[in-house]
Amino acid sequence: MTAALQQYIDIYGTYGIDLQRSAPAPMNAVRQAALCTLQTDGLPTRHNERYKYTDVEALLAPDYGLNLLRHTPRHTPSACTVPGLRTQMICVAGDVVLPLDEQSQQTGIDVFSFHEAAEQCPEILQRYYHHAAAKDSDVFTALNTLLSQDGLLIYIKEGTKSTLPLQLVNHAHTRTAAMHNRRLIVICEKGSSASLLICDHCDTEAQTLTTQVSELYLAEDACLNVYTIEETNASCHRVHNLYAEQGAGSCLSLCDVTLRAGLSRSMIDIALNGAHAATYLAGGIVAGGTQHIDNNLLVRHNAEACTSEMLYKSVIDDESTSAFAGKVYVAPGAQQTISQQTSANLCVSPTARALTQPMLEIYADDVKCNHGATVGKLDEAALLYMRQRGIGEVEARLLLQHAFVSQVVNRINIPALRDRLTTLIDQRFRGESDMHCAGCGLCGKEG
Amino acid sequence: MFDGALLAFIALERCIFGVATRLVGLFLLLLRLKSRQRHTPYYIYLMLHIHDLHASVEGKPILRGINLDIHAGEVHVLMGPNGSGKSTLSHVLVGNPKYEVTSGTATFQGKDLLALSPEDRAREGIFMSFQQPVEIPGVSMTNFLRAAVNAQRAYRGEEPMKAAAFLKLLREKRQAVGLDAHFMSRGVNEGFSGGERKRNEIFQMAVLEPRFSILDETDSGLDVDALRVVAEGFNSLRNAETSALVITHYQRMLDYLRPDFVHVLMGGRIVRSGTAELGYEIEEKGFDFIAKEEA
Repeated sequence: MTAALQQYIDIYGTYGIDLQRSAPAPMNAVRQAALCTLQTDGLPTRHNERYKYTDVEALLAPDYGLNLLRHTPRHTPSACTVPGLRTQMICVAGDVVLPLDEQSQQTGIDVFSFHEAAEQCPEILQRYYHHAAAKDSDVFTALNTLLSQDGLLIYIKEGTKSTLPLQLVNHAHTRTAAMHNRRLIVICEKGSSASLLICDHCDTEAQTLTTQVSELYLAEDACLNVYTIEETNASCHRVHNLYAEQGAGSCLSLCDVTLRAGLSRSMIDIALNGAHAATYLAGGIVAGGTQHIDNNLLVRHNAEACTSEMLYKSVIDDESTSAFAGKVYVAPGAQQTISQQTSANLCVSPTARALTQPMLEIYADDVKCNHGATVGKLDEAALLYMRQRGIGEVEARLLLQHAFVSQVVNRINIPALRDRLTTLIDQRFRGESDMHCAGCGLCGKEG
Repeated sequence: MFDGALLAFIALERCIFGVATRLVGLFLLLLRLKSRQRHTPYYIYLMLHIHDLHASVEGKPILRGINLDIHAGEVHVLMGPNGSGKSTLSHVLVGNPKYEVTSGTATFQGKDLLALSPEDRAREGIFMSFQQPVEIPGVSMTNFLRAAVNAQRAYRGEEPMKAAAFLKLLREKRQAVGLDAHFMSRGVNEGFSGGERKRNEIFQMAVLEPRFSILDETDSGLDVDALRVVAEGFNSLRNAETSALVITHYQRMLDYLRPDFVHVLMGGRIVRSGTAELGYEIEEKGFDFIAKEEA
């Protein structure tokens, strides 16, 4: 057992009782199993296929503090608005779910913290908490399960067609090195549809590590669009494990945009369990400095005639690294599967590194699975063409870089959000300050 | 008495009318002077002066001493066998970093052209219609041209163009070269056919209104109708203050453009210069007769 991991196990040994006292029963019921996983498996090394590109030990080595006493920040985020877009706002400060605004609740959608869910709908929490995630013995899922104390449950009732997107604002606000363990469950019942926007912000220079475990359950014909925007800073590290189980005819669309972060790892496991289910995963990465972005995806086609698509594009500058490992698994009998994997990387500086690994594992014979990966530099011919029209070299480079990731942003079907992201990406390329939110109360900056 | 009053009235009226006419005339003259202020006065002047220009690509010498003078209002046609250096000359003039100028000078409107960056050459008024226009997926035609127009305006110390005026300009020029509106929202040259790309080049030229244009085989790969549209588009932009260097292999282009001069480039040098007649002679006899005479 490495010291990096042992320190968290020790924390649990010392404060486990306090931790259990402040958490609902379904969370406590699975802690022991998580502890066993950690003690048995230890930390994965780079020999582990799914951790080939990320040094877990270095990530866990700092002595991060935990918010065991559930301190709530004095000031709460008042707004993190997208101009022209009205949303139902949910705020999480660190890993504390802030009181929800009762007035903005939509009919057909219930939003609870786990504590509230344990009182109001314990059977749902019991049924879905650590259900999809339990099938994986990942170290961060286990660590999160061991140490998390609260989470957010979004329940979209049968047939609900939500027109107001839900917006989850995750905010890290701490003065000392801290670990936040966030948990999210989204249940979309039969025939429902909703959009969820998750934005991660951070206004601290202290080192933070966020482990986020999300479990998405889509019943028959449900449709869920998830947009995640990560705009933190170089000292904020995030590991996001997302598990989804999809029923027949359901559709999950995930668009993950990383603009500013330290180390950011997304591990996505999707199980297409019902026929004609579809999943569309898109990622847009803009990295610079010594940023390290790792996307590790697995889509399991367990049923017939399902569709999956992965489109990940990264623009990497300075000494940053972008890794992509995408795997499509087609189970025996999952005929008429259609899948497409695309990973395209643009290295702007000679020291930036792109690692890409598309994978296919197919056990059915009537399938159409494509994969493609590219790593390249800026097109010199295009650059000259633009300069010949009078566009300065710096501006031409920006336009080309922006154009490269715009394919991902164009997937977003909320125009206001698309426009906002276009502006944010432009600002990111221009190196302008982190104007990530218009008037967010937590960071005390104006948009 | 009556006659006297009438005469006085007529004299007064003529006086008022005369003064008014002169005032209007003066006003119009002032307006014309004002509108001319930005431009160099209208007279024949040397726009581009190339002296003993040598250039190489990846260490291989291509241009071996080019001498060429182009005055305002002139259209020069450059002909020559494949590999003689025609495209190299055009790329050297626009500042393609792949081409290295080893010696010689090029002066554009009194400025040392070779010392300018590619974008500054464009801002000074040099435009090149590329032989193979590149595709830039993700950068829409509208955004691309807005960036180009505003960069050129900023260079001249002008305010960025207002959105409405800019869109009006695009619409007018687009209609002039027969380019559909839907091309404007597409990526630059993205999914454009060969003919549409060439038409797009002339469209950009119309929007940017350059002083000096280089057409690098803009006619190649065009059908008869497209060639006519492109040539007519180009001709409509010609005036006494603009000039052009046109690289072509075809007589039909000479028919449309009626150039002032034709030059023949061989082995990296201009070996023969003449009027349009020279172009027709080459069309008839090929380049061989010049090569033989030179030998």
